[in-house]
Amino acid sequence: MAEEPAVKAVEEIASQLGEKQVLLEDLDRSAYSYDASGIQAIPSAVVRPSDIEDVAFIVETANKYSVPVVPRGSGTSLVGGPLPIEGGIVIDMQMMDRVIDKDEYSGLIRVEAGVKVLDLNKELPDRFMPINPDGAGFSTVGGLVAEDAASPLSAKYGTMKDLVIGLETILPTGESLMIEQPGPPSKWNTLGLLAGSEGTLGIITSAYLRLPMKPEGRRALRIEFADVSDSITVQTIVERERMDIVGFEVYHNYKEVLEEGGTEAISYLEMAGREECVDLWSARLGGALDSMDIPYEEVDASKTDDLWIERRNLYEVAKKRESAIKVVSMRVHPHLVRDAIQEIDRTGSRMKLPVVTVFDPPLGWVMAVFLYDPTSEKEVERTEKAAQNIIGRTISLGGSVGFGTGVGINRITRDMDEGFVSVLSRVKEALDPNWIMNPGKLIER
Amino acid sequence: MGVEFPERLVRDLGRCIGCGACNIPCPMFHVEDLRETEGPRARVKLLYMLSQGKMELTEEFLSYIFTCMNCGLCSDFCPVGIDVFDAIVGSRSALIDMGYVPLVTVDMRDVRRRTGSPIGDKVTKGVWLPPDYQPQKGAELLFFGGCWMHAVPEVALATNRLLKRITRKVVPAGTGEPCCGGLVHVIGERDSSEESREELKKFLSELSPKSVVSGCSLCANMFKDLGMKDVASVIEQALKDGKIRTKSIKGKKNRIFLVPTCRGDGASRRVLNEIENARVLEVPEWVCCDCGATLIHQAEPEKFDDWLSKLVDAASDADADYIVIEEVACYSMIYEALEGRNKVRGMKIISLPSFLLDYISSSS
Repeated sequence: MAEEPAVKAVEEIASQLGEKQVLLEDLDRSAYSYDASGIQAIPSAVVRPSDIEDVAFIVETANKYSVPVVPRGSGTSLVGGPLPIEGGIVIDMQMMDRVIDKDEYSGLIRVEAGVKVLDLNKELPDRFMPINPDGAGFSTVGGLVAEDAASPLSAKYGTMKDLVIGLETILPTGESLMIEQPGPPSKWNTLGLLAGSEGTLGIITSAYLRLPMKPEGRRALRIEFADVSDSITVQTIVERERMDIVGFEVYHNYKEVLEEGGTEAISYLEMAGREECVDLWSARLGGALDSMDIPYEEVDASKTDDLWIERRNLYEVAKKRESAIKVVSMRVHPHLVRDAIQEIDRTGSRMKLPVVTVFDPPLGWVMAVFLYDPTSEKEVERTEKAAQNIIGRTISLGGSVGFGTGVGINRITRDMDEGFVSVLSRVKEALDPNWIMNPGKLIER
Repeated sequence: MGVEFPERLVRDLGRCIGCGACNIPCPMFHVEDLRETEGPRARVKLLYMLSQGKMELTEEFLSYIFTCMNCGLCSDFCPVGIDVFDAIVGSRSALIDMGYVPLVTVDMRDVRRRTGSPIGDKVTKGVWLPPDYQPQKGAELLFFGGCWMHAVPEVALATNRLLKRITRKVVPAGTGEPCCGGLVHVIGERDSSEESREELKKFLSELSPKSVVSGCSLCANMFKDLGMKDVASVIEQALKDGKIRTKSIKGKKNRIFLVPTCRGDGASRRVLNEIENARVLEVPEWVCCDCGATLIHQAEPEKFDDWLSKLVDAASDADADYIVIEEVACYSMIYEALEGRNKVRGMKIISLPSFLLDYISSSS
């Protein structure tokens, strides 16, 4: 157990929430010390609120004693989002998993932060696009909004913050802040400040989302690239022909790493729009691919819905090689995607680590997936070096680290983005003067 | 220095990417309000920490590693292909090899040594058979009860009657039936499990039956290679072969909440679906139970009770008329927890064989 202030804060919280919802045993605290990032930090206590009043009480009490608080959903973060790296209390939001209301006609749904994606996607009729269809569905809405998660569908529908039309957040003072923007943003968009703030400004307790309708016509292609650069050319064609793309994702080195020498890259591209447009576009794209001698096939229409689950098959690589994985996610200007991929390949070979690169040309989203042997200390060390190297190179390319996953412990520093850090620090000072909200993430103090 | 696990095991534990997918089906994780500690991810992560010297090996930690529902559902969910349950069982074995045995397991070991069964103090084998009963050799269908079957003679009798509708030549294995070793296997007692396997092999070869049905699905699953099948699979096959047929449910009480075994392939659900007018309800993925739950039932009965009350809630929310329990071990544990009541909130609690007796008849 930690220092005096934390003990006092936890005692007060326990008297309000009940002993059962405050976990202090070593076993419990250790169980909340990890996520999917590979980092570890043990909290002084874990508290489990059942409703917004509980959250308000926890945060207000922690603020009184200046004890850090860190919100946690399912603990699926790749960047240490829910880990108390500066100590303090972890707030496990999973018991707040109610659907508050929904409008099946217009795809509006208001849920508590602990609702899981797989449950959320079942709540609305089939004509609405599911959110994050690429994941296992275990992440919570609160986590996705806080980290501003992306999916291959982000090319058309944006990231989580673009689906959010309202948020209820508990600020460090314990007051509840309700922001809602149902219509076009005639007001200054303050929602965008909280969505993606990674728990550094307040704790999101519920979110109001609008799910997009599925398009009328959908067509998907599976394309194989012998030279990964050709995928950038395909993106140029897509833009030139003004094709409406739902998603376009390339898996570079995937087959090669899996089969020791396969195609350099495979990819999925989904177009959407009116049936006649889709017909026209797919004919044009097909023609262009034929002329470049790039093999492709149309994905069976019945499988379009499950198309982006393919990303999960990436894990097959880790399975086959019996290795662990380390993911670094970033976004670069689309014309620099090629450079980012080269950089990743180079890093992989320099550090002697197999690496698969997943990238979405329309977004400029690039993810390096390093495979390593967790039992080899040297390899673990090299993997960490590789990740840091990629982060450094991304910044020098003018890219941003943490797109789609959140920045987390890879804090943004003044050298990386002076303007951003300056604005965010001031907002932070104003809302959270004691720096109790998830310290050590997103921005440096 | 950490506890030295075999290298292969450390690699499996260390490979966990921490995604939490294995928590999705975990019964205990659901029952304890999604508390991370209760799920398999925590067990894998904490075992890895133990191997890296970042976790202290206390009596509490030991019993934590040894007690779960032992359903094994977690293994199917790992995206990077770690056999999660196998890794947990492997860790238990390794700990036992190093001399770290939790008290609950020590108790079970003692009981097994004294009585020949890990739950021997709860059962008298073959109470439902005539005192001088001896199984015939070369039976068409040998009915191997499994330990728990002997704790609830009414289910044993019902199963026997049900099997008789398939063939008149059912032979119960009787009082000489050895421990199959399934339960001791999942708690990591490798040596005892191997010993049991040999005894079982010997027992079966002496009786040399044409086929064997096991009342315990854990045994059936572990001894597929010895030709063992669980009751539901045998019933399903007999339905297909036309040896038995189903009758329809009369009246409005037809909503069935099935608690299947954790190791089956869905045969029990398919059999129930064959019954005309039966409404077999969808159940949450964490609903399953078999002999593997014995340890939690004995060591942490309050958790078993939590599980049961969540189960009853789920059945009641689904507006069930019946809670049908496939596994006899599970039925027996629930029966004990409910102090012999066979009705909760208007729902009838019944074992699968007893339920099927009313709806399955012999074709001949």
